[in-house]
Amino acid sequence: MPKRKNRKEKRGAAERISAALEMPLDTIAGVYRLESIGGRELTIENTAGILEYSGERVRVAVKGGVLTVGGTELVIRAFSADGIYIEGRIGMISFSEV
Amino acid sequence: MFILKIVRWIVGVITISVEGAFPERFLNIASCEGLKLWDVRRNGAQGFFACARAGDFKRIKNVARRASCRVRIRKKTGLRFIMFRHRKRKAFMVSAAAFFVLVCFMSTLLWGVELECGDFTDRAALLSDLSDAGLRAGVSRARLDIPRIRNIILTEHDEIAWIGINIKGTRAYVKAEPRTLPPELADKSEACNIVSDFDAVIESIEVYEGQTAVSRGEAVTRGQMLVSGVIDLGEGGFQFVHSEAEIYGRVWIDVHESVPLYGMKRVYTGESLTKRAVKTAGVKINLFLNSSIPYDKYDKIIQESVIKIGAFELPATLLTARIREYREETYPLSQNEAKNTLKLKCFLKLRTLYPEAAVMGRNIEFTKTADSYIMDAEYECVMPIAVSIKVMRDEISEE
Repeated sequence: MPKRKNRKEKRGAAERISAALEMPLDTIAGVYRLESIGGRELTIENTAGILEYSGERVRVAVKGGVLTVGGTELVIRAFSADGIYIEGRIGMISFSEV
Repeated sequence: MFILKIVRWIVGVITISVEGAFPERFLNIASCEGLKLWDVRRNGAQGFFACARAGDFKRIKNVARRASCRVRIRKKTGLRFIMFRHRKRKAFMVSAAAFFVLVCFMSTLLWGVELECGDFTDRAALLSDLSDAGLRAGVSRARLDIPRIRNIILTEHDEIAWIGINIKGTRAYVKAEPRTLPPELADKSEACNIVSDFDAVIESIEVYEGQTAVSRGEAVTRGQMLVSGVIDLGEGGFQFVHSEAEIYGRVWIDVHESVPLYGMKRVYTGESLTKRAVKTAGVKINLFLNSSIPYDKYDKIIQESVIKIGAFELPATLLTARIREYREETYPLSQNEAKNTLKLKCFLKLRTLYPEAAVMGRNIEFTKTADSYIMDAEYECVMPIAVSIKVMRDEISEE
């Protein structure tokens, strides 16, 4: 329990610094960033790895949880240590906290 | 993206299949190792296809071993594989290398100049001046000194206010904008009279400044004052002004022209030659061996056309010279032919001498002498007749 409290406090500090410096939260706190174009292309930045990949579902580990992208004909067009670019018919994006 | 595809094709691309219990682990380890994988597609429940650089395959195998996956090459594409396949065909390899070098060399040259300008300037002259300044097909793009070319053109062409030269790929796009010249201002500080330049009958008179001395319908002689620049103020003396007026008069102009009784015409014998040459990078290469022309009298028409492959213009022009032999023959000129020729000559002479004259009527006399036809034409024209002359103030004061 105390560990979780510390993490929450840390996140709060990063958010405060980000607000004070007027800088995007993803550059300071390293939280994920999504960019979707017309439901056909999706870029996720600040990822921590691919947990599951199929033509219908891609689960990606991000800071503080898991992002799930659902759809059809999903193709990982490119990926690197901190980002992933998915193409296909994207029907659903959800985030679950862990 | 297109450039990336070309680079990948040059370095070689392999399509791999990865199979195992946890293929996602392979992807995560590969990304941590800095391996570039793209176009990842699922292949069944326990595997996927992906593309990678051919040179990374050893590292991919290591990653697969760590992820407990099996990796196989399914497809190889790219230049290195083509070269490997044809490594024993020396001539093919040399030709391919020569072609590559040629393409690289040709891409360093300027292949064409496209000029966009209105009617305000002579297009052919501007293109010629651009060519003289160094902007022409066949020159090295790296050696082009655009500011210098721009300065040369702006110095030589007063009518151009701005010229833009953009190099896009192997073509130069030139755009010229016209200069609006300020109107020539008359020196109004100097007093002047307006006199007639012809013997004429005043057709219309519109005076803006000065004292009118004639009226519409009045006959005037050459040098007669039409508008005075000296206005008598009675006891107050004289006021000197710069007279301004628009005065049209009916003028009768005599034009004299003649043609000989016999004309000369060219009769083509039917003999002709065609000689071709290719011009590129300022060098002309003749496509014929014998450069002599076997005719005594001939016409030579040279046609220059850019060599194209489809709609794509190459940095070379084809020069086609057509040489046609002819002989000169004299023939008696008929009266009708002579009349028509003389009418045209007289009219052109009138136009050259007085371009502003509007012809209202004409009286023609046509005579034949021992050696020529003569035409005396009298044109009745309406045209500007006013001319300004300076007022001598000293003479006025003495008077």
